[in-house]
Amino acid sequence: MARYGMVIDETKCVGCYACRVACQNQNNLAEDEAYNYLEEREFGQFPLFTRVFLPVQCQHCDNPPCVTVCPTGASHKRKDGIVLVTEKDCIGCKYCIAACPYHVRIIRKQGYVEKCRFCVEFVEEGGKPACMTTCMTGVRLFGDLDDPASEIAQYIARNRHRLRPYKGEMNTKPRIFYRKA
Amino acid sequence: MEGKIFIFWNWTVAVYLFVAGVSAGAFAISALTHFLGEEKYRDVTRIGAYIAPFPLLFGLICLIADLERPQLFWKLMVTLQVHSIMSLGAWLLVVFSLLSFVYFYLWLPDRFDAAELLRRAPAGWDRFPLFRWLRTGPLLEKLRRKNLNGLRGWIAMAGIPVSLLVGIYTGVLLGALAARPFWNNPMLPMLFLVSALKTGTASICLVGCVAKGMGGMSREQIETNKFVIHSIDFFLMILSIIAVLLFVFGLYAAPRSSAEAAGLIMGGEFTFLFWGMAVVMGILLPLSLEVYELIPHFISRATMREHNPWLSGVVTLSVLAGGFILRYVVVYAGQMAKAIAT
Repeated sequence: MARYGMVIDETKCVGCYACRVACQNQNNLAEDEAYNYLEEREFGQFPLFTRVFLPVQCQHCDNPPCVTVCPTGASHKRKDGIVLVTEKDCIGCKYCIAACPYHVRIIRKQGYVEKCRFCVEFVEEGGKPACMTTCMTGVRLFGDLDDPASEIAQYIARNRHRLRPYKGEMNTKPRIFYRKA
Repeated sequence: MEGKIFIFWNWTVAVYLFVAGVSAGAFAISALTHFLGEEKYRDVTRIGAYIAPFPLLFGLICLIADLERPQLFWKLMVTLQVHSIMSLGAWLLVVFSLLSFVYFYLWLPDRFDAAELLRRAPAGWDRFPLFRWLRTGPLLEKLRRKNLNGLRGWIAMAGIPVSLLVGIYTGVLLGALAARPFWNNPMLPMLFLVSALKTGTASICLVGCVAKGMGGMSREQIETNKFVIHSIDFFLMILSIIAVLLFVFGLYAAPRSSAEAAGLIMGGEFTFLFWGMAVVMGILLPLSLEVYELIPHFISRATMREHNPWLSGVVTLSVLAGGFILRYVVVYAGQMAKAIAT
């Protein structure tokens, strides 16, 4: 069984928002709906300052608080680690929105809650998520963490000391690993 | 919307949390006084039983209206997710509603006896088997008449833990979320429970003193009932002051996210609502008025002051308003406080 994960290299992101647009196209989202966002942060004072972009999307946690709190079982985690929402079971109580520390869940116009799905229909056929393939600087790296020959497994093996989870203190055990500046 | 702070639970959730507390509190206090003195505090017990089912009924309507897909709310009732506080709570509310309606029925005056009412129904209705069974069967006969007080006692005994759980659950629902630093505080369920009991007491006192009026009650009856309700309320006020202070303490004695979230009520935009309305108006003002009413009885062992409906009205309404404002502040502040990224 595959175990999907992603690496996001914050140092490469230039803030072009192509991943957001690609995601909206892929998932038929309206222009004010999105499954990923860039957290922009500024450090220091002119002239010694820097600005970084942190791409954030569903972390597909191994200990997902949204799945724990869902009262109908609509939010669930698949065997391969992808966290999904069963659209027909979601009653729209918004409890999962309150539970998610990453603020990535949105209410669709149709009344159910949705979020990044790791482009599951591409991934099942061996493809890659749209946000990764569209990125011009190669910020994202997606693949099977269990396959030692995969690009992502080798990247993690080489750079383990540089990778950190986002909001790791929430004990969510994210499947997305950040390479921080 | 994504990644930003936005309000997804609006005031309807605050209303629900408040009225669920009123229901749970009214039931718990009614059951408590039933055991403290069946004959002595009969009026308090009866009024509590009359109040208990209805605020929650209104709250459930609010809750369902707040769903994005209200037509699918039945999906809550076909599953039990043991890890989800909301799913457990939904089932808890079902149990509580059933108990409170049975309790309500048992306290109705004798002319509402169902067996009696059915006997007066037209004879033609006997064609329906269910109706015939109800009319002739032993169920309704058992539910009334025979040992009514014993039945009330059993329901009250089962209802005390259930109503306390409902009061706690409203706080645990919010407190279980690690991602929301303002809510993720072990004192929040305690604060909500004490506030629930307090608003339940106030609603009994309001209906008893103001709405029902004192016509037909002897001075002694008024005094004993008022004495017990004010004594319970006084005790709960002290507990709720402690709970509020420990809640704020808990926010500061926690990681950075919580301490920054505390800023919302310590100088932030909810400072006046929290300290001015929920604490001073909702706790300190009624507490001082109650002390004024109880002092002659406790200190000099004199009889209680003459019943003053204005005083009771101010006490009960300010407790109820304070209880709602507390829920309102907690619901909104919790959504505006964000876990700080590292």
